Amino acid sequence: MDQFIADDQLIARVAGADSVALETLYMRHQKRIFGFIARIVRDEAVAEELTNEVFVDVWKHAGGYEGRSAATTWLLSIAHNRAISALRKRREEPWDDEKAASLPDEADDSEVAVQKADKSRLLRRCIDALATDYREIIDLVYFHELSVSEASAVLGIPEGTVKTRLFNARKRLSELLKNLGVDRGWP
Amino acid sequence: MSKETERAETEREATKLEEVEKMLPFYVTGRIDHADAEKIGDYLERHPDVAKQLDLARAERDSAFVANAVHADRPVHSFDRVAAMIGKGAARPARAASRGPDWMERIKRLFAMPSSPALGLLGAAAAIVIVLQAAAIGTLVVAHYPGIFSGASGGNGAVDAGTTVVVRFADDATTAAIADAFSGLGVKIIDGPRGGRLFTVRLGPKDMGEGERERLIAALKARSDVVAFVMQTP
Repeated sequence: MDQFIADDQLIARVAGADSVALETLYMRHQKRIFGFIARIVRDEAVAEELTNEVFVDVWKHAGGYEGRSAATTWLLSIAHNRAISALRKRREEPWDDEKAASLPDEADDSEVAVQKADKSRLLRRCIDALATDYREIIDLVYFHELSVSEASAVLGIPEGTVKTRLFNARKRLSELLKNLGVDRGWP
Repeated sequence: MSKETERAETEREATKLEEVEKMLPFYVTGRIDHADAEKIGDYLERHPDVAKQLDLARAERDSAFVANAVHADRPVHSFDRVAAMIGKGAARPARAASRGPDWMERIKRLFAMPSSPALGLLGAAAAIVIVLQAAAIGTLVVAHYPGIFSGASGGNGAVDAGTTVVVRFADDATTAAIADAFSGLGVKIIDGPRGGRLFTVRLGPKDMGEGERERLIAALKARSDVVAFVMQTP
């Protein structure tokens, strides 16, 4: 069997200034980190650069990794901080700004009738239209499949806030869908 | 029952409902501890109207998968830029030793993890069966089902991938069913799992005909016992 080095072992090696270990971590996680950041900043070039910066942060701060959370959670946490910091600097997308206003609100024209036939496409569109903090929690829980405690660690918020934020994001999804003529029957 | 007791009971029920609703997404992804999952399972059995919300959460999960899958097939980028940023040249030999097998290792770990989200949300008895099966899969998958995987990739999608799609397997797909479907269609996993348990599957050479590609995609989608969704890549 070929050699396999666990992430936490790699991070320990990075703490000892092993750039090969950092490269292995990079090759292993860059897609996930890039995708996560790209969904937040909505700009692939920016996401590319921020992804690199995440791994520079790993290089600088690997010694502080205590293994209390999974390596992936730690990396996502760094990525979250980088992405949000970049958004705030850019000021093109305020933290609580929701793109939902750009969604059409009409209910009964023929286009909407066609759209009703493809609820999943509409749902996707509404997820993309959520405010950044709502979209991020949806991605972390459903796509990255984090537990409550892991999402709490990534976002730096209490576990109760994780649950409430996700709950509110889902309610907002229902509202957006309703604006598009789809009643999910909840809440 | 006095009105006050009735009101207190109603408030308790409302609180309980909200607690359950807040945990449904984690129940659907399987990222919840066993005791909480049992409590929610019991509640849903007693409240079939609330159980219907599971379908909403599953639809949200599937849509989130597709929305994120857009980035899943991004080519692997070189480490050189990061190496320059930290002031080091990228050293190659040791990386080759540790990087090569990691995708297969990830696959085995995914299937072997007792708490793997891949197990989805199953009844307790079924879960035990699947966990046992999954553990066996973790040990045996590569040896017994080599036809599922392509050895050419090296695990990071860096080798000529040909014509590919991004796939997420059904929660209860067994390795045997995957092997059956994939060997029948002549397609192979070349990378994964990435975030969201997405796998890149090679359909054929880069220049394969559009008709053949469409046929294979339709055939994959038809195996709903194996594949939850298939997304074409550019």
